[in-house]
Amino acid sequence: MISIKEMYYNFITPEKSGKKIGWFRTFLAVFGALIVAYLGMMVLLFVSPGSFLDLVVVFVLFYTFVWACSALWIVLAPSKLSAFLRVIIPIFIFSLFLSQMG
Amino acid sequence: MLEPKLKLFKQRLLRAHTSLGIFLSLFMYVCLFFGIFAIFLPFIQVWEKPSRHFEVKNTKEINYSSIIDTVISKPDFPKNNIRVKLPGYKNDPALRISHQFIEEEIYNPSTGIKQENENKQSKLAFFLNQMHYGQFFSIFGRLFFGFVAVGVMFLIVGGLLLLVYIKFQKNGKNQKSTFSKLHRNLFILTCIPLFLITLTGALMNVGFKGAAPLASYISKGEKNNVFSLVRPVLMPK
Repeated sequence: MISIKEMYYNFITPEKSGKKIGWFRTFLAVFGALIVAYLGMMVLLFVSPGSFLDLVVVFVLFYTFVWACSALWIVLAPSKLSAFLRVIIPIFIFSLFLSQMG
Repeated sequence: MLEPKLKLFKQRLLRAHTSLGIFLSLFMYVCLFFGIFAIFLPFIQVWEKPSRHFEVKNTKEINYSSIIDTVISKPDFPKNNIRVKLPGYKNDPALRISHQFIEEEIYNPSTGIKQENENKQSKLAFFLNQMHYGQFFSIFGRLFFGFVAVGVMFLIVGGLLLLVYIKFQKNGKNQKSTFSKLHRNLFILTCIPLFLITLTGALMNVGFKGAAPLASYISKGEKNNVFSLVRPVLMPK
């Protein structure tokens, strides 16, 4: 039986070997990266200058690519905690920004 | 990056690339195999229907009214909403006259002879085309093949990082390093076209459908189809 302290210790320290990806990381890389990419591209859409409908086309074309890139970025985090933070912090910043945009 | 962190980064990059690559190669094989046939779609759809086996010389010099008038002047033919498809429409060489409530009649445009229509009997060309992008399995197939395209973009970016970070042996003699060298060289040659193909594939299968929340957000809940919003940009009149 692993205690909560040990579980927390495993959560925050980088693994010794990177030969196992794990379900936690896979889940974050698929769904977390989708939310990060979607919100990030939305912030970019409202910030960038230019014709709005042209920017919507850029959004629709490139958010799948940004999804793939952010999935790679999240899956390569050294520890489980940093993988989790790479999802939570961008979501927090982007959603705060979008809420201020109205 | 620090030394142990860099080692972990490289190991994880290689393992993510390998595991996702083995899983997705099953579906990439299906896409590529049927994609080869999808290139020849116009030829297959004419070849599979014997009623279309004729030569059409110059479509601008054909007297269409002599064929169309004899059909639509029949007493029991409807008088409005008649649909006429000229030869060459969607690569079909036949002249097609139809109505919502009447079976389609097809004619050889150069001779004016009526052909037997085997419209729904043979669907080989559509089958091969639909297996290419997943429409054969309806909406689930289209979304799944779109996710495969997103995964292939993950593999492309990961492959570029692997080429930057890992020093591969150039003169290895065993089977593994020969295959690795072939894999790298093929990727370097084809990475740009492969990226463009997967990007447009992801756009058509996932991109438009997945942008429904955005469309709803920017139109204040009125529309949830992004294609109807961006139609003036993509298809200007």
